[in-house]
Amino acid sequence: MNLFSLDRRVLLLTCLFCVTVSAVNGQTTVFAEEPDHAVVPGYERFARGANAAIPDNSHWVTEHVLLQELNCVACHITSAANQSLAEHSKRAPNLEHVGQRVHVEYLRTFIANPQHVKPGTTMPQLFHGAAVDEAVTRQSIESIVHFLASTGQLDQRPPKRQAVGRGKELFHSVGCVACHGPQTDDSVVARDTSVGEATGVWVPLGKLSEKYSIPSLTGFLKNPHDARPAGRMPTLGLNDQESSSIAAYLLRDLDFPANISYRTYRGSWDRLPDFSQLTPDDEGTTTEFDVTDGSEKNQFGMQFETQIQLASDGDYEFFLASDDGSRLTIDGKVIVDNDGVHPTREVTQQVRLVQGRHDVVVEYFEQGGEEILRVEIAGPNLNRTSLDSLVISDSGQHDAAPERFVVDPERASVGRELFVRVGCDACHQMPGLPQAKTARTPLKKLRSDQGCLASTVPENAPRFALDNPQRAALARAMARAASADEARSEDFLQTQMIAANCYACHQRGDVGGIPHAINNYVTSTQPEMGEEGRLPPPLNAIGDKLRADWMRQLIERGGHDRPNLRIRMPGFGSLIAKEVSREFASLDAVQGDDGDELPSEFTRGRQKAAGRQMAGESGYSCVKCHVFGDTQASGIQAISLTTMHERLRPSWFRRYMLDPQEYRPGTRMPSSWPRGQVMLPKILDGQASSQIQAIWLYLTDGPRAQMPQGLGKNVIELVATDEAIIYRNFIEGGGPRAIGVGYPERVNQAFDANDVRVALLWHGAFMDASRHWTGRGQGYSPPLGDNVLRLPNGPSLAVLESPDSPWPTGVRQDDYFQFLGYRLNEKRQPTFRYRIGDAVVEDFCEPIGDKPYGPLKRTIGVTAPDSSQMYWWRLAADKTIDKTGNAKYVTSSGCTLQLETGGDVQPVIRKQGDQQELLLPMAVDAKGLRASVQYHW
Amino acid sequence: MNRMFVAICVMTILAKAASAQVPVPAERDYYTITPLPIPEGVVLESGTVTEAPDGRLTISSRRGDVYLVSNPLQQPDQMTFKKFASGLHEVLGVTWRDGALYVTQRCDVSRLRDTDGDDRADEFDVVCDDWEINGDYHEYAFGSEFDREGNIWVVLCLTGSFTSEVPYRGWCLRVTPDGKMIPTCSGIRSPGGIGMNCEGDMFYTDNQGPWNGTCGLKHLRPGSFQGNPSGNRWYELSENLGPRPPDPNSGSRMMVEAKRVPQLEPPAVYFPYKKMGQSASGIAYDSTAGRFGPFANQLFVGDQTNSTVMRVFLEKVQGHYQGACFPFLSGFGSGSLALKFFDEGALFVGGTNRGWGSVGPKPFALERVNWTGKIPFEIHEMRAKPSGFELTFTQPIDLATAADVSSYSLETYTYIYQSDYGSPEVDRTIPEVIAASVGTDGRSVMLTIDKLQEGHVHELQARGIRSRDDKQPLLHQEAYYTLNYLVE
Repeated sequence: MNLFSLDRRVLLLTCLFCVTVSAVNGQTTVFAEEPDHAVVPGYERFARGANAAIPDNSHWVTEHVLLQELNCVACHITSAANQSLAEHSKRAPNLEHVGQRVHVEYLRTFIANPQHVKPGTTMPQLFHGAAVDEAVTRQSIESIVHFLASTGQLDQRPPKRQAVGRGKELFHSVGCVACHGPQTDDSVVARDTSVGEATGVWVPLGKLSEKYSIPSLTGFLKNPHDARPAGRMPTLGLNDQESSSIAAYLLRDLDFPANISYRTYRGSWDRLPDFSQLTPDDEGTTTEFDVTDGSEKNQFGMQFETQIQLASDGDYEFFLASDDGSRLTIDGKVIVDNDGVHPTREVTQQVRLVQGRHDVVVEYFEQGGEEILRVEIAGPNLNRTSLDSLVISDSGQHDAAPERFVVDPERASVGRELFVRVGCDACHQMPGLPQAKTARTPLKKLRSDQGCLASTVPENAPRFALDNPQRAALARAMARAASADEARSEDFLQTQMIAANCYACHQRGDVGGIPHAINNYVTSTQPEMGEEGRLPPPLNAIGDKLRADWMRQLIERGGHDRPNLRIRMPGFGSLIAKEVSREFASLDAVQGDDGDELPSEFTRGRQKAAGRQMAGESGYSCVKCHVFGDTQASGIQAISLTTMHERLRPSWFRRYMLDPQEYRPGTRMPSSWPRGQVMLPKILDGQASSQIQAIWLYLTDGPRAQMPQGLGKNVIELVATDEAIIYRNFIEGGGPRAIGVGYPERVNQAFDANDVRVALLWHGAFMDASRHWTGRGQGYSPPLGDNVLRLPNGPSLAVLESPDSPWPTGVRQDDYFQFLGYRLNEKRQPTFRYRIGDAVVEDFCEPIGDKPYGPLKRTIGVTAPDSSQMYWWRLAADKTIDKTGNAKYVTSSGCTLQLETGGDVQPVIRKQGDQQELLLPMAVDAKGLRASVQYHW
Repeated sequence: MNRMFVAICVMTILAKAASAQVPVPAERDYYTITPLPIPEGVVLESGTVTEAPDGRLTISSRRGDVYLVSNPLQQPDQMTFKKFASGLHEVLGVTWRDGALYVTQRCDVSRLRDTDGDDRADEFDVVCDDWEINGDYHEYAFGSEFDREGNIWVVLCLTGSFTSEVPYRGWCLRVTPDGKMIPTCSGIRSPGGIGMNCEGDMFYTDNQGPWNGTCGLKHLRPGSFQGNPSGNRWYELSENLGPRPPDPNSGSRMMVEAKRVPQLEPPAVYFPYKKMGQSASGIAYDSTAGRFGPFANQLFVGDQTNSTVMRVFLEKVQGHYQGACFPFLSGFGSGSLALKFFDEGALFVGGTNRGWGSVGPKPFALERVNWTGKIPFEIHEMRAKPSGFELTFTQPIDLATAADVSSYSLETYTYIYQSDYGSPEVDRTIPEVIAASVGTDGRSVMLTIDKLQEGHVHELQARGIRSRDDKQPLLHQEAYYTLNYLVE
């Protein structure tokens, strides 16, 4: 017998001893701090003791919670009037794969006496009563165990010792403590009673190391809803490493001997070296083939040596996966060779091995990148499992890893029938059961002094560990349910919030919030943010604040949107999410929501550009506190700007921005428009409502929105202060010979000197030169601002052979056109000059008016020696172009063009491919010709 | 062991004794470096430097500005900076004519004029843009000052310094006074500067990489092929140059290929890697007629990595330029890139180390070098002769040490001429100095060598020679002569 199984036997003896003690004293004394009755946390918190603070005069809510959470309706069928109760009652764990999850031994003892093995459990005892034949009971339970064990095999693996500390830290920070309470170091069972909370408030964990293995608890923590579909155990969005760390912490009393010797080497190799010729850098013993523990991340090698014990002769399959190379040698013979530098790659090999001990050597090296090594085995009566689970437990004499429970199919078949007969199937999901559930007394015919509720529960009824107040509460709740007493909406919401234990973290009205006992465990990554950066937000008027779909998704899947909170929002699954979010929305609804967008005199592009400016450091500096996607804010790290539009209802946003304190007392969110006063009067029309609307519109672009100024590092923003500035460089959309022009009016253009055309017009910030002015300066830089209007490719003007001729594309070598340079006026505004054919073109843009984000007027002057030639100016090309007024055109991209031709020349709209083009004919005479267009976009 | 220790002690003591008598010469005894007062907030990553008609220093920057510095020859506190133009695209060539500033930038050669007299350019006219850009940072364009015919010569780096994706990457083009473009040389890889010698012949520096075993100074003989065939596809656009020359064989030697490919012009001077520098850059000849010391008309070349200025002596052998390079001055503030002599006796050096690190720690610098009036003891010229090299010195030499063959040592090596990046020094030989005969002028030595190696760098160490008057060793004892062609 190895240490592991020895340990288990001792535990069993301890358990038997406890039973004896309990029987003598009539109450548990050994686990004095453990509850002696089934724990439904919401009931404990709100129906008992000093915390019974819920405004629930009739006790409807707390008593109904008990009825719902003990799942009485699973057996006692309900009428149509109790449909809601039936729907929301807590379903028991799904046992479909229980054999892969829970130790057989645990199943055996737990079924025999649930409350004893896991004090506080809501699982009833099914085999009880003085008249019951012990031998028969044992046989029955054994059959059920065989049946349950037939659903799979538990994978064993040693806990990673180094993960225990991290697991503890996670357990006490991400939110586990909200329901399970803080743990003490010395015992997995004992709770930290120093926090002064009444026992029984916490959801019991039981002795987890008897129940789970490291892999099974890791899997459960990662996807708790697979096994527990009721959603009461929520998902915390733990990744693999986090789940396995918490599992290592919770199962830290597992005793695995470190019987694998390892040596670590430093060096750079492309293939496995001969480690025997090298001097190890480090050596020791370990419990698993783990290459991620050491300080080395690159350029190291490891060699593991151990012995495994195989239970029988047979064909074994080995799976060796690694990044980079690895090799598995058994009894001196290379079994699997996975050598060389490569990403994670699995190689498998089958080999015949005899029962007994075998020498194992695993070699591994890492050149660079990820370090991964997995060594697994499958064989007769052995599902694929990590090879280190078969490592012998000591240097000596005996046979190794815990004996594997072998399912007897006949007994399993008997167990399956029993499973149904005793009513396990009423609560537990299990596929492929032979018959329908056993009918029991309907709910409304139940009597409060009989069956489950009797002070001595009869043998044919399940025995719940109920105390007297619970029995009385259940009786009252059943009576109300029988009379189909309808819940008020707020009561129903409270019931579901108590069932899901929302109140453990959140306050709504006067109810709930982080209790004193766990207050110290709810911490912030930024203590300087105070309570707001630490505590989960209150849920007052949450249905007014959050979009219903966001709320539903958040409650269903959980989230971690507030970077400064260590605690996470858990996910409770679809049913709770659907009900709770619906109730929030209907209870908190505010009349007269006016949708995403209010009418505005400004184009959407301009509003968004202004919104971006206001969000940046030269505006209201949202980015000082709020992160932008993955980009950190410069100050505290408040919730991201890129998800605001998904989370928030626009009408709430508009009201909140005007007065954050009103909606969230004590928040650090400043009033940027104190009492409606506008601090940046030059933006848009200087009205608070327009500005807030513009910020909202900007936020609706979510992660696609251009980053506001003041985020990211090393931005070299080029700013036109009192005169125009020029930036010639590789500008995205403007070509390699682009000439950017920034005007002080926060209007910008990029002229493409390769194709002699105005390529881009945009609003807001001009250019960020950091790409070109930092390092060697590779690549194209996009406009820094917003609302970019792209004008068509190819030269601005052309001579067309016929009105149908396609517009010429930019071919510089043809000498058809030539860029000639530019001249600056007193405002340093450039007039671009180029030659098209024989004509010389002067192309001048200037902002209209001195208000920022305004329209731009472009004037083209053409002089040509040959006045018989017709030149065409292509003003726009877009999917559609419509004439909307006198010399006024609107493109499908939303740009309005106002022409000033100075004569009666009419432009033409023509179709070219799948686009329409707006062309202005220019019959140039000896004096030359000028025409202008205003771009409003 | 013990004996060696004693020997080292003795040598140390002797060395100390020697240094106590004659101070070891230092560069700064002869040449001073004065930083110019770049105004705070101005990022002046030097591209090129020139002299404006009114005597102001004109400096262009990689950020696209052009500044004028008044009183550049005065004390720094007398100087003022004025921004003449901005928004240009990485200006690596500036030169004045008829009151207009001609700039060579990535995209074109432009003529800038100030028409309203406010000292700021307001007219930007394209003179020539007959080459293409692909949007790669490596597509630099270095422009010369006007040659004697009024042309600006432009050398264009390859696309990404490996390929030639669009016309004339990897070429030298001439831009005529009326804006016409004449394809002039192919074979360019990654230039670091361009400039004329005192005869008006055009040179550029090219950097170690494919087909460049090490950095070199190359003569832009019109019609020549400078060695990197990546841009040779554009011979099809360059009818004036005739058919495309055959590609060189990779893995060969320069002079082997030069005999096979007639257009191939070997580098006039190799700058042995690390020993002289790692990024050869700007070129200027000493036009000061002695106001900068004893090196009138010699070429000076910057090294960006080492933050130095090197000195080059050139001669023509078999019709080709070749010669020697010498260390000249180290300790510049940033990576030396731009060089310009003012006839009054000053060398201006502009530096940058953005994207390419330099020994000089500053991100950018603009410095003036002045001669202190004291003549350094240096090898003035190193000429190839049929049987060896003739050295001339800047000062009269000590006859005894100069005539002692053990005062000199030589080794030779060359480079693999290959498409791979760079080359080690290969084909090494150690020739013997058979005789050292001092010239009648008392300032020259004829070294007879057994034997010279065609196509090799001849690295000379003249450690033993002393000056006549104060018995000083050479300020720089090493010289590297690129012996492409033997003197017949």
